[in-house]
Amino acid sequence: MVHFLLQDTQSIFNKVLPALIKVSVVLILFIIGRKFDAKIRKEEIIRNWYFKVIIEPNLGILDDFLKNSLLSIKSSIDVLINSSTKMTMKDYIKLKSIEISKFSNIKREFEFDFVEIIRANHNDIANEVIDLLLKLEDKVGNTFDKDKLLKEDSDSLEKEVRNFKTDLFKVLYKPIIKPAGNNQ
Amino acid sequence: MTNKINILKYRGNKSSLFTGRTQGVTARNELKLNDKDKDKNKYVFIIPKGTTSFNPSFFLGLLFESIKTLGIEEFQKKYSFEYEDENIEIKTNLNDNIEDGIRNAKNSIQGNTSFFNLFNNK
Repeated sequence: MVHFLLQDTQSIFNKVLPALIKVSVVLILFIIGRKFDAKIRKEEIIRNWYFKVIIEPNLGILDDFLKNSLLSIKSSIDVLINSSTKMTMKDYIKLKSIEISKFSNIKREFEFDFVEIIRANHNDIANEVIDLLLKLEDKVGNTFDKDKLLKEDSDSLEKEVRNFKTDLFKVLYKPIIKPAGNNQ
Repeated sequence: MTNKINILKYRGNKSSLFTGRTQGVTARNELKLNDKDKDKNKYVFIIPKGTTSFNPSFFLGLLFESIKTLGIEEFQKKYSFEYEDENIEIKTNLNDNIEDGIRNAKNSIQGNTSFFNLFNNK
């Protein structure tokens, strides 16, 4: 009797086990698929937020920064060229400091109005943008500091500002092409 | 004890500006600021007369590691700046430059906030 019971149990088990395995595999694949979809959706939301809420509405601020930078640089170079032979060295140093600080003020406003918005969600991207800004600031300051400033220096700084724009967009584009979750 | 640090030699030949993160790091190494960060002394950087700008790039090369090591409060207790130039406008500009440097250092050290952390359950 026990022998027959054992045989029946084994027979039922042999019939049920393959089905159980199939169902388990399907369930596991379903769960993995759902988790993967959720991860992709989350990355998509973060990418869309970054582009639609942070970058796109603030492109006007970027345009203003570039425009104001070029105007300020051109004006400062004109002032420094016109004043270089008419002033004492002490007064010229003071004037140079003032003209350099005009660009620094424009850069600072751009940091507060644009870069700090990016920093809220992408500290690494904000740091890269700051690095670009600091390099541009150095180029502007070193140009203004030249012994003999020429009108052509305005053109060369204009190129630097345009290069800055290109490099900036390369940096800003990074979170759109790479997966979210690597932004520390 | 407060010690003065003269940084004229790092201003660059015939230059009126302090620029460049690399140059700041060079100054940092030559001045042995890593060791100074650990001692109990206070230091004053003397910004020489004739300086038109103390760019944040140079500031970060010189002092970012100090801010990272000490934290901003201890850093500001330990290190300060004096300007040899008496002109108010130049002093104001140099002070703005240093504030920019400190702000950039603080922002660089902080982590992400708000939206990103929300989505990563932080």
